[in-house]
Amino acid sequence: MNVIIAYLTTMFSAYPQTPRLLEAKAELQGMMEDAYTSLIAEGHSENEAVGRVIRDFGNLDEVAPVLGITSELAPAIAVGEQPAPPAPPRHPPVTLEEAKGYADAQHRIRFRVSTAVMLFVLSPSAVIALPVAAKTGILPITGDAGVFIGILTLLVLAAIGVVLIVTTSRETGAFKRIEEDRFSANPEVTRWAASLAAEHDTARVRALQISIALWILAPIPLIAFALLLDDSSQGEFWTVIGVVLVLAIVATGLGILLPRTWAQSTLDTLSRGTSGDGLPADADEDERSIVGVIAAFYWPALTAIFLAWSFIGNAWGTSWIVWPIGAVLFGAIAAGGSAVESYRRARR
Amino acid sequence: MISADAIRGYVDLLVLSLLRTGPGYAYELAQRINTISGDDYAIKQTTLYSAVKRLETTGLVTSFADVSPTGKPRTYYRISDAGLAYFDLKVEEWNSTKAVVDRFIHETIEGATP
Repeated sequence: MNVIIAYLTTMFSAYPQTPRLLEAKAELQGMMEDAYTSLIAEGHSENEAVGRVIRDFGNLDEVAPVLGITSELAPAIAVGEQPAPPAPPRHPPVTLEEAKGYADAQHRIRFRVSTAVMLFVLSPSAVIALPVAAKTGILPITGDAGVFIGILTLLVLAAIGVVLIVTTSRETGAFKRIEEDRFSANPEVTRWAASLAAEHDTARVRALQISIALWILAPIPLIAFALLLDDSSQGEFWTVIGVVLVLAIVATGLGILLPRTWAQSTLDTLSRGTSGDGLPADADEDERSIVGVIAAFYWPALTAIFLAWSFIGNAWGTSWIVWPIGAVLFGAIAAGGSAVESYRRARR
Repeated sequence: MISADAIRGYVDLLVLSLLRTGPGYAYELAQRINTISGDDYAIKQTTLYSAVKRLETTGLVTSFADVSPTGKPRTYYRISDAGLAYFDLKVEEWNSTKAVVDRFIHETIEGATP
């Protein structure tokens, strides 16, 4: 029922809050409440009931003349009610049905996506820790075996992550045109998505606070081990464990945050069509999507390499070279990513 | 399924005809319209709300506060004498509209067959 009230509030937020309007809002809310209650009594699920009530709501612009207000909104396209306006060369507006399906899909895949990202972040752990564990004699294996097992673990974890991501495309496949920005925004859908995002915003903000706190605190074990332990091989091993802990804490933060951002990212995606005319605005978005994903793994990995090399090899004098090399390499990767993306776009 | 545009001029008639049998509140009216229409027409809540408000402004129905069967306070609508008279007028108008449209349809069909 909260979703319905939030929906109604957002719909009315575009109009002045006169007593007559508040009365209309209360009565429409009563109608929606009755419809919701009777759908639930008929045995429909809560999601189904909310979906049907919102579908049967209609269009607030229709009420405006009765209440003596003229709508200052662009005419909203009512679902299945009015024929689409004669189409200028732009993509057809996204419908409420599509938007709901898309939001549902995002909701279903949220744990798969976050697990995959966590696996990507954790994948270098073994290759960082095992060779040192072997060298210091904590594990009864040779250094080479440590490297081998480490690389094997990295590849297996990355493969699991990729498989998880690939399975999500089955869910989102039907909404390709939304993901590829081939739609124009529909005010009604944007309002609905905004109320959905508002509904889940408390959880998202809390998750964001927790994960940011975790990310800030992540290097503490590493710094503590490096400073407090001596230079013995035990100390060296613990320093490496510290690096692995950084990855683990970063991954935990992502695991907490990512499953709770689906409603907000649905809103971002659905209101993005506002530009709608396929101008360079969405070229930037695409570039951000590919290069952004690479950057999310690249920079933490580079930091891990820098710290590992510096601490283990005690190479503070030379390890800074990681940064200029890393930056140039990232520039190349970003350029490559955009080139691939624009090539793909040109073929569409 | 009848489109909202096709039935627009007659939503007031549907509401008045339901209110002739006794007062009702908005959701109940929408529910009865949908039951009687079956799969042919589903009224949107904003369409029904605009209709009752329009009828109230023109004095064809009056409203009063009461409690629904589920115990919720709801605005009930009752048809006025003017509303009853208007209903008869609208029914007459509908009959002649139907007759005129039918005449065209049949003329055209007869005209088309040699």
